[in-house]
Amino acid sequence: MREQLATALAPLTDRGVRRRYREGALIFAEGDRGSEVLLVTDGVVHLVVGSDRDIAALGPGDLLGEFAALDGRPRSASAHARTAVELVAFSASDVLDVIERSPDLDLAASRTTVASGRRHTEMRSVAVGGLPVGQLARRLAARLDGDHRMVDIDAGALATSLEVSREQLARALDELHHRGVVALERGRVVVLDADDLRRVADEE
Amino acid sequence: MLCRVTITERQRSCFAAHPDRSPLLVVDLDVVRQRYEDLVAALPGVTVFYAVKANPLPELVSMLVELGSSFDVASIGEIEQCLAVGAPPERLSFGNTVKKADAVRRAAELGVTRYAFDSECELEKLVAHAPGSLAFCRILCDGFGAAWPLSRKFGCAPDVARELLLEAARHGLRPGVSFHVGSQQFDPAAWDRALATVADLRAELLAEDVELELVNLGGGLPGTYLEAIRPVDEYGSDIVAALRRRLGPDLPPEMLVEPGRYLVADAGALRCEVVTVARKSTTDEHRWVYLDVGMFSGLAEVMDEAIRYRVLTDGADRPTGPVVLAGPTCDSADILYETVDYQLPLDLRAGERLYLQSVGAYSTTYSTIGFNGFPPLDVEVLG
Repeated sequence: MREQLATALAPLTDRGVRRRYREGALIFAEGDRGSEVLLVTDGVVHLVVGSDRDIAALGPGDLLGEFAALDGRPRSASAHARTAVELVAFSASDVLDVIERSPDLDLAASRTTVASGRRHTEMRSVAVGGLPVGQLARRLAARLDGDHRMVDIDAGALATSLEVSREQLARALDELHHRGVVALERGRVVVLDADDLRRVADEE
Repeated sequence: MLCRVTITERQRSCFAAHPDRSPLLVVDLDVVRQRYEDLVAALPGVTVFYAVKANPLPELVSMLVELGSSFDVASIGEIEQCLAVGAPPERLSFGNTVKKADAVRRAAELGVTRYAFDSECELEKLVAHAPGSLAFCRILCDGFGAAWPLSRKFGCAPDVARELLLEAARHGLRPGVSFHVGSQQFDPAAWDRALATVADLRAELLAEDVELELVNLGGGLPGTYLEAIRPVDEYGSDIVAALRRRLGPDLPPEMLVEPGRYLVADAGALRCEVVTVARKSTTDEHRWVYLDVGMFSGLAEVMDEAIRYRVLTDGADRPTGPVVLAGPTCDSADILYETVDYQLPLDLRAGERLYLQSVGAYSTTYSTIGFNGFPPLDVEVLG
């Protein structure tokens, strides 16, 4: 979707606004409210989650910022100019217009792609934060027994065995809960989606 | 940790020395000096321009000149006042976006080199009468998180600002940007949000080979009213971090901040007198307390009840009940607080003195010159 949208926007740069950034400049920050889509025309942009983890390097012809334009949620990563960068900023309404007119693009499909892209970025973001999400998921997955979805946990012992603080363990459980993978009850975890849990265990 | 203010010993002594003067505002310049020094320390790399409009007392402005402050001025009158007490014109910024052409011409003659604008019309005046000056365009901010969000009277949308600044540069003016996050701003992140917009604008100017030379962070730092506030070094570290993050690594050559309220509000304590206590109905427990000071004698900021002064009485542990506070004039708008929950002693009587804290900002000159025959606010300055 990203490549097709970039291709569709490339001939339309006169509808956007040109911006130039010096090396090292922040283009947008994770958590920002912003709905513009940016098409890189020169230089290298790094997408970063957390404090320092690069998740992608983008160059001329690449697009960034399309998640927020399509779902209205905050930016999922920060964009930094790794070299001097030039880009063109398109408004969200221009981008939606382009999607509607393009035979190669479909708004519903684009939004689905964005949703899965967000999930992927969020997972990487959590990994960066040092939370034991993957370890926790593996441990829980190993204790799943057939259809039985309840896993009793002793938070103190689990934290010790994962070599993390109870606070980190609680945040990791919260993260799994936030993603809809588990529900939390006193002294136990209810696995809502075993496949998702195994996917997190594999990906983290 | 949150900050509270008290009436200083010097202010108490001054009230005691003038028992018959009421209402009386006592401004303690030691408080202003401390605030200035705290702010300079909290914002390294950022120049402090005191917003003279907040309190133009000559002794106060003179002291800030000596401390090395620069000044945000709103009119030729304020420019001349600052120059008269020794502020060099290069330490002035004409921050009003509404200026007569004659005022721009006169300011330029007096050596002022920084000007705010937000429209084509104002830009034309700067091009004609202040060539080569630093022209900073004010952009609109959302004001979210402020006790007194500013209206849309000042500023323009960023896309308009871009075109105006490109036009300014074409005419040899040096482009800058200003914004104001809203007066009495409780949320330090407000500056970060505004700076994100500034960063976009800066990148758009750079794409046209135009360098942004000045970023004006405006005012908005709070005074201490009913709500306690965070210490200024916390605001400072958040703002400095936001500047580095949004505009680094190559920061603009000049960055400035325009505090008014923050520097002077807590320096002013006002003593006033209860004129009348009235019960309006047998079923309403609210008493109406009429003071000898009101909206027309220096407390105009109670408008919309956004600025909420702390009200103190003598004597501790007196049982209290709810009151409506009003001023002494025959004008129905002269009500200080009707919806905010103020409590005063149940035995409060006419003739008792009350103390209002943090009345140093937007009070001395916000007083009418004789509405209903009442004189302007009486002020003592402790240098």
